[in-house]
Amino acid sequence: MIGPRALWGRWVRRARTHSPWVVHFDCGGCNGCDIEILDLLTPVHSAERFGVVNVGDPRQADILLVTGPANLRNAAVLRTTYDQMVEPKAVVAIGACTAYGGIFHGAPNVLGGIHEIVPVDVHVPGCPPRPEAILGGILRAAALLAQPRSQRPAEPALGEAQPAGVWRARPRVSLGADDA
Amino acid sequence: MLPQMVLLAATAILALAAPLGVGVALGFDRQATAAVQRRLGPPLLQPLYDLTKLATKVGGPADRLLAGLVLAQLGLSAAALVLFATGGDLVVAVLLLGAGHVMFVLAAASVESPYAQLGASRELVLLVAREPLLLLVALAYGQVAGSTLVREIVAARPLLLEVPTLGITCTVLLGIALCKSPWDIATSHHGHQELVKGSTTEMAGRWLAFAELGRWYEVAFVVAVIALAAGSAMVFGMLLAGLAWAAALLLDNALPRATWRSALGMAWGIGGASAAVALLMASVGGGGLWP
Repeated sequence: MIGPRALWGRWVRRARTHSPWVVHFDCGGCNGCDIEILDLLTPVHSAERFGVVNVGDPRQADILLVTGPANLRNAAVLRTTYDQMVEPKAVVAIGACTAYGGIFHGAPNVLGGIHEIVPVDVHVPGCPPRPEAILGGILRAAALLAQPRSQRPAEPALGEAQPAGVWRARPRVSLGADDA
Repeated sequence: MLPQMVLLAATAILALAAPLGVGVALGFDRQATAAVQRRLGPPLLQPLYDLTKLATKVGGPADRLLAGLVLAQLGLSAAALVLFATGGDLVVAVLLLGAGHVMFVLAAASVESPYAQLGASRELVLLVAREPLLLLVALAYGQVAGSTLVREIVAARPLLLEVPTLGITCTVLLGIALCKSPWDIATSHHGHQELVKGSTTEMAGRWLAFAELGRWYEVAFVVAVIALAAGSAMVFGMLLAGLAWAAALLLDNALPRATWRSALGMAWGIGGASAAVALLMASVGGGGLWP
């Protein structure tokens, strides 16, 4: 026999994991992954059958989809977007660029993978990944949404999360006199 | 004393059950829309999942004024439905609902986000489009029944036979309540539209859930007003509401989003003209609120 409290807990877990609203942030790659995300959201793949809704407002989103390499220009914007999201939330890094910079690795303005900026829960490999793989990544992240990040069991992430603000201390290059 | 207690309990149950019913209906709505677009839709309970998820978000930023206004909207919308269900005055219930909508407009306008501001002004246009129509419907009902009290309208002859053109007005009203195209100008009900999230831009977590719940009460109210046209035949009334909902769904998938001018023009032009005709028919029939 299951009590009302446990029943409510089960319902909340089900609701949280079955309603992944995504917000998309493009760090500035080649837009290949972005096109695949758009493809995923068309009726062909029908992501809405899993409750996926594409929202334009990070405050209302549960999953942050990131494409492109982390770079000096938009690191702060990416972090702000992540910070504006309300727990429970998750980050899905899509494509090679988000893992280590991809083909832009080593470029003067590129910081590397987005784990330098935000904690990454799921990496979707590929350059670009297929829409099915992105959907798989979203569903894997949705399973994590049952609890806020602080209550989730710790697991060794592919790119270990950096504490907030660390990225500020470590720009790898100096772009001008102001940075010196 | 006992009848009052029973009435109170029934009212409380109804106030809780109405959002559940609307949630399932909205789930069916999303499935039907998906079927029209030849894709698999979400589960039937998806709107309830979404609402629960939003309500159980941890924390979430909220402007204190915005939070208060959202709660006021929720309370007023629920009060309108409760007044309706307890057989109260339809005109007063309509005004309560309007006051709730005003609270929502103020909530959207109480924050500085430009999208929220734009959404608020468009929400105001929808309020101007909806409120007079609802009042006209209430007056037409009253004119037929001789009283605007819901319990006396239920007991009167079925209004559907007396003032059939009100069906068109009610479809327009339901379209506005459900944020269906061409009346979805204030908030992007579907992903990636021109206003991003419009009037709900600054709402997150449980405050968005409360705002959504307030909307559901509005939908329940409009559905109840439509069902009232069948008088005491409640099953037939729900069938009428289903028909109006299907018509709104058809409009949503057939019409593009309008500018606010044409949205207002269509609401008043089509809905207003039908309501005026209905009022005229009811007045010619004799009796009514005024001789």
